[in-house]
Amino acid sequence: MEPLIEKNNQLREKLTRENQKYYEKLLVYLRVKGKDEVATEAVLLEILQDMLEAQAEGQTAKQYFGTDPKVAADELLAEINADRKENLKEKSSLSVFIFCLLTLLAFMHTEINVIEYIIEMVGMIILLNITLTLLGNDAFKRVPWRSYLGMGVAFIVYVSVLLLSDHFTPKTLIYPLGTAILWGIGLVFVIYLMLYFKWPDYFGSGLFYTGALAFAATLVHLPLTNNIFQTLWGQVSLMVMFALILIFKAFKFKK
Amino acid sequence: MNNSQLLKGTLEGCVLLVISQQEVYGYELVTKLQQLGFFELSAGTVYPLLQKLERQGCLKSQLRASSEGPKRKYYYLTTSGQIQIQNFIKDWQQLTATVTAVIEQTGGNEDGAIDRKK
Repeated sequence: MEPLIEKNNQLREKLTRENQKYYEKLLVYLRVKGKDEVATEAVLLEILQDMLEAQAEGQTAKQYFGTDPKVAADELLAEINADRKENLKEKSSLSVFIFCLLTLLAFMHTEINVIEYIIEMVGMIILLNITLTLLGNDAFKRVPWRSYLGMGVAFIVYVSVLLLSDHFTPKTLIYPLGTAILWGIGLVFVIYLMLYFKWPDYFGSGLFYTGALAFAATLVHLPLTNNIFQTLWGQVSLMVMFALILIFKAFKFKK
Repeated sequence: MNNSQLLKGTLEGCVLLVISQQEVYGYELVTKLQQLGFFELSAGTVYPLLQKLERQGCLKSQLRASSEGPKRKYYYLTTSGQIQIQNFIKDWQQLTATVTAVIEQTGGNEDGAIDRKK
């Protein structure tokens, strides 16, 4: 979703001042009342691109879009809100779930300890809920960088729990995991890619992080590199790198 | 009677017909419809229609690079949309035949004048 908003901010500058005023009224109105943020942003961008083309052909925004934008906006909202309310939530959940799953795979060792695994799953669900709460807030009203910072912190806490639980859980019910897990990581990432190609607007924002996580997970389990990345320091360094990426992105948005 | 009410009902069918000829993005569609005769058409009427038709499954959209360069949302017709077109044409022909008959039989003629047979 952020790429859509960024693109919108960039392109809006190209409108004449008069057209910008017209368009921005539409923008604010739709953003406030639209229930599916991604669908709303997609339509806003579409209209903006077309309006710019109309402007290039000598039309004003009013001439192109109409003298009564509110009527058109209400009709658009009726469509956007029709049966798409749950869309964003579903897709966000899925996206974050895959993210958490990969995190789990990234920091798991060569064997699966059932008790530890349960603890980690619980931790993952908590992380999921925190992230969703942060994502679910009106990203336009709030400064998005705070969400990233929050997610970075949550991520650090989660992975710390994973690493610590490794030391504090009883060593019973342990089953060996071979490099077979590499297939699991690959599969999860491929599923994410498929989702991305089907719904790029929903899954695009997470693509980079998911890829980075899958890469980190692979490093942890690949015979070539596993002896580095399965040590505590290896794992901590991966975690720090990742958290830094999230925090860096937070500051990029803060500008 | 308000012209725009007649317009809305038939605009959907016309949008589908235009798209059946060629995949288009929003601005292209509005321009084409204006060229075909909907001179007073504003884009604000068209976008909600596109959303509705896509939601109903008559249209699908795809982001593609345009001739200008940046990716635009192109709309294309689905099988469902094709069926919708056929229904629309049938309904329209029936409607126009009926209305024409009513006009003729109540003494109206092509110029819009009415002969008052009294």
